[in-house]
Amino acid sequence: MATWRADARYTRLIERHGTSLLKLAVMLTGDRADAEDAVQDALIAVASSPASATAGLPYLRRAVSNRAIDIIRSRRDVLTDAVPERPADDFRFLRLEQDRAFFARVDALPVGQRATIVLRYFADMDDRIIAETLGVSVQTVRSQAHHALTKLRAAVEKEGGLR
Amino acid sequence: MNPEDQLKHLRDDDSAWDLAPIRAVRPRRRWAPVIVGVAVAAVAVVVVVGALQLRAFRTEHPAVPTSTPTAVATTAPGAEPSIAFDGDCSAVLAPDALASALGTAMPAYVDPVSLVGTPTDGNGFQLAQRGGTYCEWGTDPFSMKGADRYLEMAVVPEAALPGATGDTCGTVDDDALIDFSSCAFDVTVGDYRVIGALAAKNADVSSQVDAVISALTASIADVPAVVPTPDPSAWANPADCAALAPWVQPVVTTGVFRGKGTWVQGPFAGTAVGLFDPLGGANTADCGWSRETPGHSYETFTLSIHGGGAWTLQKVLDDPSSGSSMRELAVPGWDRVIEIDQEVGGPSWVLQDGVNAIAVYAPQRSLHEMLPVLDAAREALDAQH
Repeated sequence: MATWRADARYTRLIERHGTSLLKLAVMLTGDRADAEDAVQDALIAVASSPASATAGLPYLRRAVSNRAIDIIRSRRDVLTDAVPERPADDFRFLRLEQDRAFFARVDALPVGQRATIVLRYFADMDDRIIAETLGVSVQTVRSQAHHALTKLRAAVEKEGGLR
Repeated sequence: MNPEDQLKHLRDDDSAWDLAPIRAVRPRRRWAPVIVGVAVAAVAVVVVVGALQLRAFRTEHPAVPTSTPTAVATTAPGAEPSIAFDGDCSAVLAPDALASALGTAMPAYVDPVSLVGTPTDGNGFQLAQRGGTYCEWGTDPFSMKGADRYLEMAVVPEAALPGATGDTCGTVDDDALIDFSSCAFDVTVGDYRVIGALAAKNADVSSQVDAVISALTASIADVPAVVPTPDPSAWANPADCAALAPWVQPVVTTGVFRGKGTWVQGPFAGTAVGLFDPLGGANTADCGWSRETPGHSYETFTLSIHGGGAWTLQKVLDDPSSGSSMRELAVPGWDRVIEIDQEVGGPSWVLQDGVNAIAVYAPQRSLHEMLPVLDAAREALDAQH
């Protein structure tokens, strides 16, 4: 019975928030399959917990973010945060070429920087929540955000701006 | 379009995306409870067997350099240090005094920041164990992004953290303040060392720092430091990470750590840096090791040394907001061991040895596997002390 209830809750959460959360997970992982795993893992966990009765979108975003970051950390070089660059052509989940080009720059950021700006500007999280989500200090969040934005701005200037 | 707006555009414009709806059925997940059950059982077996074999396991690890360990840092923690001003920021700087100094109201953050709440953050550990208080004020108390003026400071008994530079307008190592004029300060006010920063948009803050320090002086210069004041001389004093290597390195070339690449010592991304680094003094260090494994992935672990960290560990445990993510483990040879579920990247563990604590984060390892490394690090600290 408990499993059935969890499944029903999971289905409702997917129906209600699936697309929005999937976009967030894609922003964090850069990969459709990983993003889907992150969303499903997170929503199953939420559905199986008492929190599901009251879980709002911010709570769900955080759960998905945790799982997505877990996934990208598990597959990347966590020591140097080095990320192999992928061509913009990989990001076919975005329709426009200019969006793909921007995404390629985001994807090339170190994990911490990428997660920080996605959570701040895409998931609209407060710095404190981002700090808790990433397990770092607020100072680190602010520093990571600055470094990420500086790199992205520099890339835009170098390439003549996004149009 | 700037990066912030580009991210918001992707957030808000569904037409930019070409994503099929996520599937709502995932039958394999029905096995999750079984898998979890098996995993829990396996972990339980490992813990029980590990506990039984622990002492034998320790004796197996290779001899470490024979610098004779001198003082063994297993001093009992002693009396718990009080927290300056009981953590009450309005006692550090009353709202009226701050408004008068800066010419504008600066509400304190509604949700007081607890640096202690992030026990793997060395600054948080050190602030609490030195009896310090952390305060933040801003013109927008809810969001740093919305504030046009911002003040933060750590107020610590100077006896527990000597060495103020006296600087009143240094460079602020906080990149989020890039659009602000800012001054870092590190001053002695009465019995306290105050480390902090003032930042404002479209304003010269150097004179305002002087006003803030004057207001602080009027407020706390005559307030005696808390008693008991922490005594850092009794804490572990990790000179630097390299000093741990002669003890740790032999361990990570044997047993479960052997093969699959060579371990090297190196920096670890993600640790807190910046303004409040001085809180660590000479009693803290984050030391990372890594090795490249086949497939161009990396295995890493980090040892965070917290000289005097025993008290902070207790405070973290006492914090009701952190209770659900922590549990205490019994590990022979260590006074206390806490497992912290970080949600991201697996658990970390904090091990108390007398007045000191060592936090270990090893995403691909169990605590049992890491114990020989921790023992080696402890021996290195004992030898340095």
